[in-house]
Amino acid sequence: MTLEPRRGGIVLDDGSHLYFVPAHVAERVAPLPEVARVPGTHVDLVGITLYEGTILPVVSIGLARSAMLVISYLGEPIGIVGADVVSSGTFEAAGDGASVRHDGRIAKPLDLPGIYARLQAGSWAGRPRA
Amino acid sequence: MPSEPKRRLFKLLRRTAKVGQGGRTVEEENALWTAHGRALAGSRDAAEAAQRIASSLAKQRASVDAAQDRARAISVRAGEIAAAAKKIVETFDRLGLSSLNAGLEGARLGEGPGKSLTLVADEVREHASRGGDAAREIAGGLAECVGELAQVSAQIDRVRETSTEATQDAARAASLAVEGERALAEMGDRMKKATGSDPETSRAIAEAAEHARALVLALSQLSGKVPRGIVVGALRPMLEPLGRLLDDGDGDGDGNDQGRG
Repeated sequence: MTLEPRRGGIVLDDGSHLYFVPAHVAERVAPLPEVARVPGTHVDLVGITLYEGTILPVVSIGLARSAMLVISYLGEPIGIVGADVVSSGTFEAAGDGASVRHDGRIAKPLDLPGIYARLQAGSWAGRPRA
Repeated sequence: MPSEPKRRLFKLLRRTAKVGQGGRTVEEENALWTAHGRALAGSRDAAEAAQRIASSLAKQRASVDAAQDRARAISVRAGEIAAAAKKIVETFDRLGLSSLNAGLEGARLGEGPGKSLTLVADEVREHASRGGDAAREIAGGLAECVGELAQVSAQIDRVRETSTEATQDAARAASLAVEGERALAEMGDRMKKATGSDPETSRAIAEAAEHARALVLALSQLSGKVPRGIVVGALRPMLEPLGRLLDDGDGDGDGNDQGRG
């Protein structure tokens, strides 16, 4: 009998779908912060917030506003809101290798490249970097 | 008994039973004073009743004020407890987030070293979730209590307004009853001047007139059946004092009767 490999990370629920964020990308689950709106940015960019001394862009993937998942993608910290964090730990991998199973449902990987691309497309891309 | 006194005596008896001055019978005059007396007593009773009502309403107002103070105090306390319950909910929510982060750390450590951390994180999250749900239920119940207390407070305010209006009405009624009593007393004084009588005298005269009429009727029935001399002889011990009494009070201008015994 072959044991399915397990993958560590976070499972999110936006009300209709489950999403998986691997442990090497997900940094921390934080309480919902105060977010300052930035005019002229992409509609999915909720705004910016100060998190542990760093200015963080906050991106929305849905309507929920319970907590914020801080991820690090390509060296850039990003805040994700819009989905409830339902579980963390190790999960049984699903057939495609990127998805995992949780409570009988399949959690597909969160489209991190798409999120990052949306950030880069708007005026946020022109912000000064340290 | 001499014949002149006998004539005088019967004349006095008939005069007592006749129609009074101004076409008014003694019964009518007595009824007028009786009605006046009842009106005066009723007015006094009404004034006293209105005073008692005002006093009871004042006590009721004090009780209502005390109840309102208690309701407000309970509402404030319930609000404080609801705020504390909200903090408990937030604390359980933060505990849940901490357990998620612990599970994430356990995942980063790998299947072997991180398994125990992940297990503990799962258990903590479960308890945090149950605690948060219970705290939310308590907070919800308290919010309902605060809402109900606000309605109770509003009801008590309405009772206070009604009580205030009733107190004012009772005071007005008492004042009007006192005015009525004064007016009736004034009416009584004017009636005394107009009729020349007072309630006690009018009542005594009415009783005397009734007795006189009965006596005249009885004597009329005896007339012709029994000799007058026998009747007068039998009644003289009782009628002579009556004659002297009427003579003493005779001031109606029938001067022939004055001073004669």
